[in-house]
Amino acid sequence: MNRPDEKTLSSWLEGELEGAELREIEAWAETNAGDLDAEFKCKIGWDALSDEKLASVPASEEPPYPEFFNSKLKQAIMSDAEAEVLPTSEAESMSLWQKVRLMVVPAAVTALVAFYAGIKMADPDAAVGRDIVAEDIGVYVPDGGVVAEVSESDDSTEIILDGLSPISDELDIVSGETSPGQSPMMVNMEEGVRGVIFF
Amino acid sequence: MKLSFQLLLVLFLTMLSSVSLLSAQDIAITDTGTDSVGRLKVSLFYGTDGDVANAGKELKEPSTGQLQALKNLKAIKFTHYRLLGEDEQPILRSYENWANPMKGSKEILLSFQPRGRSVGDHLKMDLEFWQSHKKIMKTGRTLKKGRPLFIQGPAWRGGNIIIAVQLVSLAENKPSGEKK
Repeated sequence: MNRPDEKTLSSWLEGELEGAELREIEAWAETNAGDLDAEFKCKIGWDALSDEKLASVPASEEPPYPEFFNSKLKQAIMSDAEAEVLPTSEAESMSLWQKVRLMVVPAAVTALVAFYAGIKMADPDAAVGRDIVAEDIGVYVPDGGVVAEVSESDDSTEIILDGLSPISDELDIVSGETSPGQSPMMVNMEEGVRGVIFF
Repeated sequence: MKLSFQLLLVLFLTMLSSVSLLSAQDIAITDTGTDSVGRLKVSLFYGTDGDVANAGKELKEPSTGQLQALKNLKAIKFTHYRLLGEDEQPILRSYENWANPMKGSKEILLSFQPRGRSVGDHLKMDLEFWQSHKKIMKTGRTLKKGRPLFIQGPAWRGGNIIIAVQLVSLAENKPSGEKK
C-alpha cells in the first residue's frame, strides 16, 4: 500500500476509519512506523517544545536562605520520624491498658455480685424470706358429711367432729391393729422430700 | 506497675468471690430445715359415759393434770377417760412431722408442720388429723404453750377417741447462721 493521504491519516488518528480501509492503513502503519514517527514528531513539535522549556529551567538552583531552609527541613524530618515512632508505642501501651481495664471492670462486677450472692446464700433467712405471716385458718374437712364445731376458751381449744365414720369395734387399736391400707406417713414422707417449705 | 496492680486486684477479687461462694455452699449444704423449733406432745384418750373397760382392761388412767384438763373442757364431756397412748416429737422447722400416739397402730395419726417462727410462746402450725389412712381434718392454728387443742374424733366401742395436741416447748429463735 502506498502512503495514505493526509485526510485518511487524520481520519485514522481520529478513529473514524472502519472495515477494509482501517485494516489497510493499520497494515501500512506497521511496516512504516519509523516514517510515521518521524513525520508526526516533526509535525506536532512536542520534542522541540519540550527542549525549549527544559532549556529555560536551570539544572540546579540554590534556595534563598539555604541554612534556614535546611534547618526547617531537618526539623520536619525529625518531627515526622517521632510522629511515626511515638504514636505506635503509645498506641500499644494504651491498647494493653485498655485490655486490662476491660478485664478488671467485668471481673470486679462479677466478683462483687458473687460476693453479694454468697452473703445472701449464706443467710438462709434472708434468702428464703421472713416469717410467714398467715391468718389462723379454720377447720377444713374433706368429707362433706363431717361437721366441725370449734369452741375456744381461755384454757383450751376444742374441735368436735361430727359425722365421722366410727372405728370398727372389732379393730383392737390398743393392741396395735390398723385398718388395711397404706400408711399416709410413708406416702407423705416421700412427698415431703420434694415439698420442703422454708420460712 | 499499673499492670501488676491491676492483675493483683483481679486475682484478689476472684479469690474473694470464690471464698464467698464456697462459704455459701458450705452453709447451704447444711439443712436448716431439720432444726427443731420446739416439741409437740400428742395424747390419745378414750372417753365414754359407759363402761370404760370396753376399750381395754389394761389401759391407764390419764395423769392428774390430763384428767383435770379433760374435766375442764366445755364441749367435750365424758364421764370416764382412759389414756390410749402418747407421742412427743420435735417440731422440725421445714418438714412435715408425724405423731403416732398409738405406737403399734397407725389408725389415728397427726401430721404437723410449723408455719413460721415462734412468737413468744405461740407457734402457728398446720395440723392434719388422719383416721384409717384418710385425712379427716386440716386446720391451721396458733398453738400456745399451756393451752392445748382437743379434737373429739371418731366413735369406738361405746365412746369416742379424743386427741389432745399440746405445745410442750419452743426453741429460742437463733440468729441467722448460728449452728444448731
